[in-house]
Amino acid sequence: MTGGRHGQGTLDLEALLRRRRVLLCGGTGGVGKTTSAAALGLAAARLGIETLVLTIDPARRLADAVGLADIGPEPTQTALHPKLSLMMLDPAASVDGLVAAHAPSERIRDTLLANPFYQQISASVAGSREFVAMEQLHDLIASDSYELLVVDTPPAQHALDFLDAPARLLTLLDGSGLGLLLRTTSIANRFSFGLVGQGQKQFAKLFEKLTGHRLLLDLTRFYEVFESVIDGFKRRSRTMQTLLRGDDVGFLMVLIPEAAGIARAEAFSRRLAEERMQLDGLIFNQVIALPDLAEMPSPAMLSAAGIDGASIPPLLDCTRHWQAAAAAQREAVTRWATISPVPWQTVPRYPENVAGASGLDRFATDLR
Amino acid sequence: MIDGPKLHLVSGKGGVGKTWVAAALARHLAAQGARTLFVSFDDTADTHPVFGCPLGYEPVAVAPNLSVSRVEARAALLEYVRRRMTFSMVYEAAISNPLVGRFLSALPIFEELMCLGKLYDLSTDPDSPWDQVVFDAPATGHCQILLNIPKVAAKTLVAGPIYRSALEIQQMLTDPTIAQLLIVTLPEETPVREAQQLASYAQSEAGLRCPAFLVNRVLPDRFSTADTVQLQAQLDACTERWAEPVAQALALDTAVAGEQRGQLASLQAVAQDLAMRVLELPELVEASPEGLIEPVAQVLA
Repeated sequence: MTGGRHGQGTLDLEALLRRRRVLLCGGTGGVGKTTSAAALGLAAARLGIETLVLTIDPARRLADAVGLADIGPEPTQTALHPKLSLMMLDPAASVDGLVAAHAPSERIRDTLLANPFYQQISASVAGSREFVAMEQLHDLIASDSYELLVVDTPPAQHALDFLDAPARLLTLLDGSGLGLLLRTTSIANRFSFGLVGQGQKQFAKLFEKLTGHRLLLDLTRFYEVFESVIDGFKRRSRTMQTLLRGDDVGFLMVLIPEAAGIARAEAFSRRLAEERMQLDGLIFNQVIALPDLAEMPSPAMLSAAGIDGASIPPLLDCTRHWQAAAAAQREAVTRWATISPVPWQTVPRYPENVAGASGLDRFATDLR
Repeated sequence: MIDGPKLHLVSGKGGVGKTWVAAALARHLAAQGARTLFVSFDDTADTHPVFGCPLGYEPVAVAPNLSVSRVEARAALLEYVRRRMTFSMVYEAAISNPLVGRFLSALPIFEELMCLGKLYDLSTDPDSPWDQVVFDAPATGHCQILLNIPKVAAKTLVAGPIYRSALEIQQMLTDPTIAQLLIVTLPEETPVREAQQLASYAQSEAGLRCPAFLVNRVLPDRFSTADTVQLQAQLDACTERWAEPVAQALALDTAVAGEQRGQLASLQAVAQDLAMRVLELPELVEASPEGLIEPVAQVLA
């Protein structure tokens, strides 16, 4: 270990915090992603970097730890450090807001928002949260008010969902593919034009038979209007893709060192490379840092040390359990080092819950 | 034969071990002699992460009485059309059209409704080859959306066979003799909160029977506070090489167990309000459905 470095890994976070303007923290839920993002922000602020952490649905204790009663949808300076601000990505933001922002006229906006199909679909569509998060991020980068943005991406089963969700949303709402299909099929249905494929005609018939006439009508009207809105969506989506490939944007993945996490990290890393985006490093969180025990002590040895007979079996069980857990984690980290050149850093699993003020402070210190 | 509901939906926050618990439940039911089908919703993996078998629409036998499959919207729609529509051949051709496929996969209510429809057939058809169906449902947020789908579909469609199916599915979900939701969580702040949100939603909005929280990875309560203080003092005084690692394992164990007890207590209070039980599953270093079968069987008994 070199002087001043607390972690055990190969990732130089200080250099990274100085180099990047945007750091996106990916990972599944339950790995301490939100806390990691906050701690990264605190570490950056301590280096003198004006930092904004964008978070999602923060735990109550995180808001307490940074000295905020509530983390709201506006950037707010924290009590932890004058150069550290936090904001919450608006959880109430919905597809409605996107439609309002991209509709070329008020009439189109109102027609869309009143469409029955749109109303049902927009409430149940996955991916809108990610799209809205991207929008907010785009605006913040453009505003240029902070030197560094640390983004806690929405929790997802697969780390890639953050990247894929906007594309999925676009596919769903895409006027060129779906709208075309619908218009041709509904016209075909009414007038039986010979230009339309037999399959599509049958599909329209089937669709109508299965769902009743109203849905097809609502859908057709929806896509007629939506085509004018989709261009704004697409342009913004392309801008975001370009932006995420820029030199000042990097990704970090937060994970617990276990086999499943390593497999997800590998997939994430491959996918980012395909998208020409940068995976700057992994943060192994909740690492059980126990000194290695070459050999378990015998009950007799514990007894000789004055330990009460009744406590010996549970003490040995407990030691065996945590030693085995630590060994499994070490194996996972070693595996990452052998399969990938992407550097990593470890943060120990603290006995106390980390989301308190002192916990966050120590987390930030360990991250360096 | 096993009494109680036939369809078990298993959900929970991502990363809590939902799939492992669902797999253990399926193994347990199969071991009781019920012909059990484990149904996965995951469309990203070709191999099941727990059973290691290939994942597809057609069930694959993995153990006596136990098969594994996955729900796929398009296959379910084909089956639906074959079973319920006249002139199905014509429609099958339409569904096989790639443009149509793209359209269907992009329509979330359609896709998810078809999956629920498949579960409906498996659980209510008197000719179903399965006595018990374990559905490894999507994680909490997505699960809430899924449970709401029949309602959304009924409102959007107003008429037609799919509208009627949506009503049937809704009826199935609210029938406690057919379906129940088991919520897996960890004894940690965020998973507990999400579990609680899903339980309230399932009971009040979806009207789904929701009997228990299954809390995964609970450490045994090995030491009292007095024990810990005394043991730490004894280990501190000990100069053997093993004393330090043992003392650190003890410190970690007591702290984590203490935090877990706190979360369990707050979950217990929530469970009482919702008339639910809190069932604890042990922490296993090597996750294996075999290791979890016995604890799952015990807590569900």
